[in-house]
Amino acid sequence: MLAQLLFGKLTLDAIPFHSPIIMGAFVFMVLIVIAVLFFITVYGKWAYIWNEWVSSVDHKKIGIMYLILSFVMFLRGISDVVLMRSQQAIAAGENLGYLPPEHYDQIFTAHGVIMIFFVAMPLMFALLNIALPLQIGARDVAYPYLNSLSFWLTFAGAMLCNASLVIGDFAATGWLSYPPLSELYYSPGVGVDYYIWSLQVAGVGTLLAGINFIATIFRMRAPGMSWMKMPVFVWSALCAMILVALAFPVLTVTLALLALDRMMGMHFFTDFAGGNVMLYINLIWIWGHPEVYILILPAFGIFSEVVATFSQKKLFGYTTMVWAIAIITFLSFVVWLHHFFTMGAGADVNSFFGIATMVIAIPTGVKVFNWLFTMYKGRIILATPMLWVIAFFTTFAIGGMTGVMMAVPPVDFQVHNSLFLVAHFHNVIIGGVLFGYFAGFIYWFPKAFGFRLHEKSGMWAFAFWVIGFYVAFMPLYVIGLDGFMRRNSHYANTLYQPYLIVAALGAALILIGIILQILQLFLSFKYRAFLRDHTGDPWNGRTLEWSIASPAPLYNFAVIPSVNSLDQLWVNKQLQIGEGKIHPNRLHYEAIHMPKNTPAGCIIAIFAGITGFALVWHMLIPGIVGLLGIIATVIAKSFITDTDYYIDAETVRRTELAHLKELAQCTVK
Amino acid sequence: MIARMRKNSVTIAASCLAILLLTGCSTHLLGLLNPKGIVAFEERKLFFNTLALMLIVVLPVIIMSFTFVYHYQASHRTKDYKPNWSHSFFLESLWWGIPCVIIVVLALLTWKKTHEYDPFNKVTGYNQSSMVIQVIALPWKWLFIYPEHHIATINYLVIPIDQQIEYWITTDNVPMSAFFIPQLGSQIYTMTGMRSRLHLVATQIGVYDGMNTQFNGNGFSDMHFAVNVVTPEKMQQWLNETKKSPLHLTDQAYNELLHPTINDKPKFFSGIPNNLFENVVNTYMNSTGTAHPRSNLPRKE
Repeated sequence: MLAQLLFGKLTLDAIPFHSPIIMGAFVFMVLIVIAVLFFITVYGKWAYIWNEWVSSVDHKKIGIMYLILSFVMFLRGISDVVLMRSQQAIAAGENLGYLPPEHYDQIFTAHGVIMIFFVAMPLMFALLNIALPLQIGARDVAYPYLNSLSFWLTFAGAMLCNASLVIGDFAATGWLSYPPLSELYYSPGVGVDYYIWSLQVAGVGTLLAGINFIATIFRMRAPGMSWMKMPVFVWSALCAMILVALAFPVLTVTLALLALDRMMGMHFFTDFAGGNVMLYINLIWIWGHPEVYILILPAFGIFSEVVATFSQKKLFGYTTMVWAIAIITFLSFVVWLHHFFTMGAGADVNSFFGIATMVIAIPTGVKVFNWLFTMYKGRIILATPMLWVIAFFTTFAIGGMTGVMMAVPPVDFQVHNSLFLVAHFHNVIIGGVLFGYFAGFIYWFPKAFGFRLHEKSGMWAFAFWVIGFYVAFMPLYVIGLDGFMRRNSHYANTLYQPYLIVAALGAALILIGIILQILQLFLSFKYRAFLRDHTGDPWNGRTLEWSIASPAPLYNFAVIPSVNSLDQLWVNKQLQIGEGKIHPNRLHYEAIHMPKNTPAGCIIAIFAGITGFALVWHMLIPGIVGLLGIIATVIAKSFITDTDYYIDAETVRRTELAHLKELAQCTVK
Repeated sequence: MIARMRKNSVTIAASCLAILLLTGCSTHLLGLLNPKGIVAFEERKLFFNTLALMLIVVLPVIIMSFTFVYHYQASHRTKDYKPNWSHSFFLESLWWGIPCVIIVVLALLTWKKTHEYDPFNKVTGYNQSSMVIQVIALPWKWLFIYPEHHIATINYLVIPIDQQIEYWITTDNVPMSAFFIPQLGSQIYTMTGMRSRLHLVATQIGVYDGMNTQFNGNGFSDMHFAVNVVTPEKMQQWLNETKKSPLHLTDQAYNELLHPTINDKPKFFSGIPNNLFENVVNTYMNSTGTAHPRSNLPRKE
């Protein structure tokens, strides 16, 4: 009885000792964790990690933690790719490959879920955290403690998803877990429950982060930065965060209803007791379509910053850029049905959503032309961030084109669910979102870490990535048109095999690209003294984040800048404001009000993780402990009144002087 | 240097594809690119029309992106560097306007063709009375019922050429699936308690691949069926032969079919229960209670 209350459905049978791949991955993960813990102990860094990172409410450090989370999960998502591409390359005709369907099905589900929720989303929040407050001249986000909580909830969700690898199994339903397949009748195991609760926990984190950034952009802009003087990255972030705030509650409710179906015997989405599967599919895409715009809009923002900076020219058509983003934001909510034209809605409904989808191509096209004409009559520096933007143009144009083609319902009737679709969305998500985030990562890396990334290895990584991308995905367009469907673990017709072998080779090239990126990180760290960003402005930037030291000091801005034009820093540099006039004795600094670190966010997330795990396995006692833990932590935290402190003027003066000195030496050289 | 590398990558990818396309020459194409029915033929036409319309914008974008990057490299020290030029009413109107025109054209085309090729409507130009074939997606196999002839098949569909076929489609004891014969035309989801309808006309004799496109569990990958398009005479001959099949689709035989199996060989049944298709739909539509209607089947894996 007690065992039942404590462990619910969980028994030792849930651990797949018989599966060498999973146990191998498990042993590997355990070894890495032990190694990390060992080194932390040996170097006596526990207090440092707890006080400076886990408890940190500093947006720059939270950004770096998001980066690490995204990177680790990326390795998992990419190992899924290796498994899937090699399986499809060999499983033709009589050969069934080496992965049984029940395993393969979990892999493609996990790949989608991990890449979207635990790679792309954390990477987006990493870049937002690192760059956005600095771009608007703020000292932190609006709610620093909430920011920490958001990160740790995302982290807890990711860990819950990872736990499914070893304890029990993951959903084998596809990344959106359509019922009735995801209902208890067809999926009686814990896989779908892992899916639901890892997304629920991470989803709350995302929603809170979205609200936080909206408040930050509304309330924390430097004096004088009116709406139309915000950098485009801030605009794109604002629109993306509004989408988060509007769309993520839909996801939460949808998954909650599915959980009620599975746990409480309700019938929202069953197809035999009054439920309606179409309700789920509509709801999940009402969240799901805005979700892809949540990912792409900040990438558009990054392209706008990078193109202008590296073309050494003002962004073309700022006003139309802003309007284009706003229109895309609005339209992203009225196109969700194009994900299921084949459901059998009438021609009127299908045409409406098809045409609404095409209309999005207009503002998107306008943005592309504005970027192109930012380069026109500019002076383009082909540094690695710019290379990713150049690769983006062609890749995204192809992806956008195939997207519009699929928006025509009769065409979609042919290519829906085929590899043509798979190639399309990888074309826009890799070619648009990921290339953009890579550009942003390289661009803002010096601001976060104080040194630039190694260029040469970055160029090689870029080359392998882009060539690998085309080799991996262009064959998929062809066999998609040739009637090859997604999610196949095996195919009888060997005609498709050469294409899938080429796709696997492409994936291998991408893998080399990723290894080179890791090498780039390693080399950059090794030569960090040489790559040190002394000036705080390594790219001759245009916006406020480049006006301060790299890495940004704890308080960001010693004096809050005032803004009276777009690209304020660029204007300042043109007018030579401040140059040659700095005299240490004339500088006046004031004490800066800062929030104190708190581990509450991490503790709440740990309890949330426990609750999620308990819900997956129907464990009553741990579930109650988790919930009470969350409530108790929130209450206990609210009694702590000692939440802020001042950095005294002298410390600020010393920090700023150190930077100015470095700057001066660098100018002399 | 990098721009060149980038161009090389595109050339390499393109030539790889060209080689693949040539080696897999057109007679072996199994999908949209090699249509064998009215609907698929029209969909292919629409596919290429849309492609052409989109290329009006996409090609200039790709060309401009490379020429601008090449020409305006900082090392070229071009004389017309205009760091503050950031607005042109004319240019911006151009790239709001031209895409708008293209999308209007595409929207009109979409509206027209979506209505014309709505799967629920008869295929344009084929107003003769259509032959009904009832399709039930079962755990990882397809059951085809010819109600007028009282025969049924598993994973094997025989249809006459140039005859409009109206497929009635539903599902039993398997999650939502999708019925699709790429070379003949549109796909459509199959759902329990519902009847989807799809109209197709085959215009060329041959054997084509049919499949499920919507992931529905472990047997998904092999949920294919053969579609044999024959002359009306051959069709009649086949019907007569199948009517003599010793297998009868009794209730018990149908319940057997509800058990999951993977990669079933074709089977032919003569003698089918009356209103089998309607009864399957009603099993879910009129189901009372909260248990799955098929949950009392002894499930064997």
